[in-house]
Amino acid sequence: MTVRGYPHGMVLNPLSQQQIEQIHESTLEVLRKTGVLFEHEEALRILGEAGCEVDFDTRVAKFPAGLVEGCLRSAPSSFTLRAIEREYDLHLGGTRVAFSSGTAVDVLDTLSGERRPATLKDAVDVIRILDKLDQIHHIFVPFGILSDKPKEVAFEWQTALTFRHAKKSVGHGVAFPGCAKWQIEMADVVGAQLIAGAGAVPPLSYSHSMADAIIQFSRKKHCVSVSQAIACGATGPVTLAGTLIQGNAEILAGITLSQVVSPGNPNMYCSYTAPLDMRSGGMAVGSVESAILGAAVGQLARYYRIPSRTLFPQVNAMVPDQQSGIERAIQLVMTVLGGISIICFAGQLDDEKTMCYEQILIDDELCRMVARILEGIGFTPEAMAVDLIHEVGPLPGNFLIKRHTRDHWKKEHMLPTLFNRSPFEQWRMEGSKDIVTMAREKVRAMLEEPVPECRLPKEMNQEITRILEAVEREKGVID
Amino acid sequence: MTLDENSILESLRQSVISCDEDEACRLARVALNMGFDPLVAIERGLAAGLREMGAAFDRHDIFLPDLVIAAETMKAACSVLESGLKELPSHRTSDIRTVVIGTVQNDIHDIGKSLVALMLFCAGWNVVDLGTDVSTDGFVDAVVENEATLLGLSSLLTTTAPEMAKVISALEKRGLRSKVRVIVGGGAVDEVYAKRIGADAYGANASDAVRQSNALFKELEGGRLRDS
Repeated sequence: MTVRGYPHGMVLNPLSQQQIEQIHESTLEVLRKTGVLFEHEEALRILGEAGCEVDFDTRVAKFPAGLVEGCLRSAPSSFTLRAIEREYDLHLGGTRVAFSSGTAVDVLDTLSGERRPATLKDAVDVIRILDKLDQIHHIFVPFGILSDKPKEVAFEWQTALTFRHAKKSVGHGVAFPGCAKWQIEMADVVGAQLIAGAGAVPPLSYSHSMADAIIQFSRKKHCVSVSQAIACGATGPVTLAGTLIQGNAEILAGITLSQVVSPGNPNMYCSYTAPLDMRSGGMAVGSVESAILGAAVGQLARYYRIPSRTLFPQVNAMVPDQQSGIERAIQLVMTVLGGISIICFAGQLDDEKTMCYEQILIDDELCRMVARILEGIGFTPEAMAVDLIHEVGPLPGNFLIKRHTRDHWKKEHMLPTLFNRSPFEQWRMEGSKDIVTMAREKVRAMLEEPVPECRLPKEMNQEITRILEAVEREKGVID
Repeated sequence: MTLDENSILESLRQSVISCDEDEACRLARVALNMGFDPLVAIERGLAAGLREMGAAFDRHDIFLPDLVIAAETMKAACSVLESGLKELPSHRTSDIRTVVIGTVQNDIHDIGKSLVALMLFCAGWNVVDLGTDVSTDGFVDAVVENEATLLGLSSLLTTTAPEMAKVISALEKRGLRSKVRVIVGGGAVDEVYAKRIGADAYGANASDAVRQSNALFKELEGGRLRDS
C-alpha cells in the first residue's frame, strides 16, 4: 500500500492557456538573456557542459531554451517517495493532493502559552503528533534551530529524529552548508528517500549550499524540490505576473541542474512567495496574493507535468486566532484547488517562526474540510436521487428514515472530529470551549502518552548515532 | 427457554442491528407462529438490538441515519407482532396504558424524546407523541383527552427545564395529579431535579425511561386493583 493523498475533483485555473504560454516564453527569455547566478563552481561546470553559456567570473549561467525544455520533459510527472516502512511510501503528482507539516524556530508552549525557542524534545513531540494525524501524509522537519543543540547540526539531528520516531515519509530543509551529505548518509542507512527542499535566492541566484544540495541529492536519487521565495517588490517584481515569470525562471534553472546531474530524477516545483509588506518591510506571508500565486503555481506545475509543493499556507498571525484561521484557510483552499501535489504547512504561525501544537490539530481538521472540497459534487444517478425525491414527496416526507441517506451520508458529508457543532446549551454545559481549548485538550492527552520507542532496528539506530557523532566532530561542535 | 427460542431472539436482535427490515418482519412472523409472547420478542429481541444501537450512537460509533433506520426496522417488526397481540384475546384487555410524551415549551429537541416514544411503543404502550415545543396546556389537555396514565416530559436545555415544574403544577391545579404519573428526562435534568419538581420518576436514558415507566404502570395498576 502507498499513501496517495486526495484526488482532485475540482481544479482552479487562474491563468488562461495564452497567459501560461506567455509566462513560459518570457521565462525562457530570462534564462537565455540574463541567466542565473550559481555560487558553486561545479554547478557552473556541469551546466556549461550541458550547453549553458557560462561566465565563471560573474558566475552566471545562461540557459538555451532547448536544454530547459528537454529537462522539463525528463522530470517525472509523478513518483513514489520511499518511506522507511513501505506502506507509508508517498505517491506524489498526477492528480493527487497530499498534506504535510510546516516548519518554525520557536514553539508556542502548550502548557504555559508562552513562545520560547524549540528544543529537541519539542521536535520529538511535534513529530509524534504529526505521525498520528490521519490527514497528514508526510512530515517535514519541524524546526530550523534547536535551542539545546548547536545550530550547525539542527537539521541532521531532526533528520535522525524523524527516522527514529515517524513511520510516515519525511522531507528536509538544507539551509545549512554541508548537511546534505549527512542527511543522505542517514537516509541510506534506513533506506528512505527524502524530499530535499532547495531554493533559489532571489533574484535569479543559487547559494553554494543550495546548488550543492541540488547536485548531491539528485546524484543519490532523492527528490529535489526546487523553490522560489520571492518577496514581491523587493527580490522580484511587485506584480504577480512578473513574480511568476522570475520565479519560474529560478525554479526551471534548479530543475535543469537536477536533471542534468541525474536525468529522470524526481523534482518538485515549489513556491514560497509573498509580497513585501510596505509598512514593515517584512514578508506579507498571510496575504491573499500568496493565495492567488499558490493556485497559479499549481497550474504552472500542471502545465509542466511536474509534481508541485508549497510551503504555504503561511500566516502573519502570532497565535492560533481568527487571523490565523482566515489566512491559512484562504491560502489552503486556493493552493489545493490549484492542484499543488503536497502542501507543507501544518502548525506554523508568524511567518514560519512559531510552531503551535494546537494549530497542528486545527490544521488536521482544516485538511479534512479542504479534502472534501476537492472531491466536488458526485453526479451518479444515485447521487442525483431523482427517484428518491419522487418517492419521499412533499411533507410529511422525511429523508432521514431512507436507506439512501444512511448509504450515502458518510461519503457526501464530512464529519468534523474537532470543530464544535453542539447546540449552545450543550456547548455551555461542556465548558464553553473554543476551538483552541478543544485542540489543547487533545494535544495534552496525546503528549501524555509515553514517547514511543525508536522505531528503527538497533543496528540501524546505532549507525544513525555514529553518523550524528561524525557530524558533530566534523562541524567542531564536540571534541 | 429452548435453544430455538434463544436463537430467534438473537436473530431478531441482530436484524435490528443490521437494519434488515425484511428479515426482522420475517422473524416476527416466525416468532408468532412459534407461539412467542410478542412482548418477549420485542423486549428481548428487537428492543435489545435497538438498545445496543442507542449505546453505539452515544459512543459515536454509529450515526443518526443508522439509529433511525434501526428504529424503523424495529417499528416494522413490532407492527407484525402487534397483529399477534390482537389474536390473543386474553392479552392486555384491561391494561390500556397510554403515555403522552413531548418536549417542553421553547425546546425543540426531538431525538431523545422520539427514541423514548419509540421504545415505549415497542414495550406495549399506546404512545401519544406531542412532538416538541409543547405548551403546558398542550400537555394537560392531551392527558385528559387520551386518559393517559403516564406523562413523559423531556427537556434538553437548562433554560427550559423549569417548564416541567409548570406542567406538574398545572396537573395539580386541574385535579389530575393523582390520576397520572409523570416521568421526566433529557440533558437538562437529573434525579435530584426530578424529585424537587415533584415528578414520579426520572429516565436517565431511553431504556431506563422504559423501565421506569413500566414500574410506574405496575404501581398504578396495583393501586387500581386495591381500589376496586
